[in-house]
Amino acid sequence: MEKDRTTSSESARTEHCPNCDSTSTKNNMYFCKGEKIRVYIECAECGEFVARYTLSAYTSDKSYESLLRRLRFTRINSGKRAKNMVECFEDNVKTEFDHVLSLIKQNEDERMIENIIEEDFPE
Amino acid sequence: MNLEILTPKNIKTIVILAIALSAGYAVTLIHPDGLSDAGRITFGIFTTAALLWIIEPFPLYVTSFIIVFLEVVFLGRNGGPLGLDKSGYTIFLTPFFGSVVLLFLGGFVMASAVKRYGLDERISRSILRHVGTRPSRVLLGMMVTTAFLSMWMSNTATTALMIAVAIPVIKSFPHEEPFRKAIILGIPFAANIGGIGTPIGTPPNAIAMGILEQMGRGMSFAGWMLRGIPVVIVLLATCWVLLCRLFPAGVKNINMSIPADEERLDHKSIFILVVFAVVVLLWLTGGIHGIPSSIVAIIPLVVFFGLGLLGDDDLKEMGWGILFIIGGGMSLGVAMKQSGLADWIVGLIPFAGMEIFLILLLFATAAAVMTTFISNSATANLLMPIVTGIAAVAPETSAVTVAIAASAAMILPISTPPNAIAYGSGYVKVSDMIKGGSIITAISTVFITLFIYFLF
Repeated sequence: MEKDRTTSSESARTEHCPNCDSTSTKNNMYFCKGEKIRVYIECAECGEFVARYTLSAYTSDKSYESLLRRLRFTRINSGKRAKNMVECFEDNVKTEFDHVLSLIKQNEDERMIENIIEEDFPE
Repeated sequence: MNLEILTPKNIKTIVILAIALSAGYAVTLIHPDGLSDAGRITFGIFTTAALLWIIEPFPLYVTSFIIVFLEVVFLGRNGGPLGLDKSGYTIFLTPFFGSVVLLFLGGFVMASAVKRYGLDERISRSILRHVGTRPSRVLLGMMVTTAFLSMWMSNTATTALMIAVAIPVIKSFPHEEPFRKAIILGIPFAANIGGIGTPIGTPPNAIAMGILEQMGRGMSFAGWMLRGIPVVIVLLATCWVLLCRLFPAGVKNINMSIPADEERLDHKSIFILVVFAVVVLLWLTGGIHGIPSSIVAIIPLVVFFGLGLLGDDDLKEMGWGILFIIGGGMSLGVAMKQSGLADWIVGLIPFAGMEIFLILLLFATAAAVMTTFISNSATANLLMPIVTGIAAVAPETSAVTVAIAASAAMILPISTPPNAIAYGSGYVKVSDMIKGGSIITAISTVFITLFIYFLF
């Protein structure tokens, strides 16, 4: 089902290299104690800098382990909420991954990623 | 109009809120003997709060704000049922930044610094490296580490850290090895127990200290630990023996293979540890220097944020929701005491002629049963104003009993966040948790009562 982007609150887009337009990228992670982890995206084709992301949460294919890492910085006071969070976490990640792929396939947002961020997610 | 907000989940939330408010209003229409108008209104607010904290249609801290709103509108008006003047309503707001909240905030800041610089992992590794290879000793090492860390950090964070350490060990076991369950259950149980040890270990402790302070009978940091630490030691040992017997190890040795920390501690990490040690020392020696522990808690706030060791992002992640839950509970306590509702409820319970030991056992059991199904903070918030109003028992005794019992109930995955995290690992069934948790909860309830009764 195609969504009208003017009323929908979601969109998806694959990152492109600004130099060669390739969608093949390498994620280079920068770790420095006491600072947020930063990810430098490099074009796998031409080696150009594509973008930098600052990581607020990381989820790997081992979802439970990723959740444990996140919970180290979270304070939960309710067992019910914690149980719900743990049970839903893996499903949510996998379901959203499939949803994003299908969004890109059906109705990829044509705007540049920086424009999407500036226009739809102003600070 | 965008109606995306009216999702089925939100409609359910609104309906539950309406039911809770209606139930509270219905309670105010009853006119029991001996209860003032202010008491009836407070009883209505108490009913609404209890329903919302039990059903949890939204995060617990939202209920705290609803409590304050209702208190100010229906009790705190100028010339209202409590006879307060124009600024009198602030008695319901001050608990939100009371000394206990400040003390807890200081604890959060220290825990954040320790986590941000990976010192919690380092501490856990340095303890676990020395536990040897015998399964029972490995379990003991994991439980002691967890309990120690959870005295200072949140029980949830400690459990998440230690289960991440335990998972590679567990994966190395044969699939049918029962000791896997002992390890996975030992961590959340130790986190729940460890939180009892210090005033900043878990919110019920802070709620108890806050209520006592409102009554002019504040307890020192060291005074709490004097009661809490022996309980932690005995319950931890009991829990360890129990888990070793319920889930005996089939393997003879466990290779933890924890590598030595090759990097030396950097200057920032050393500085954080020094500040941590100084703050804890000042907390423990409050009786000598006379600086209240809540004021000592400002030191890590100023030092860590002032010197850039923690930043704005850390401040956002500071666990404000928990502080608001504590504030809301204490604000409800103010209304219950001021309106006479707490005394009226106490008058309904036939305590006359009852042994103090039995009264304490009743409180501890009530706290344990409630915490099995609802949050331990909500349990403490609802019980504390009532139990501290009983003339036959010193408020310190009843408050500490309820606070500790509220942390020692760990039967179901929903009983505490650490239990839920361990259950989510998939290595234990609900029946395993009930088996271990119900025994330790029952033992804890009786032991806590005996300990507080005979020694304090």
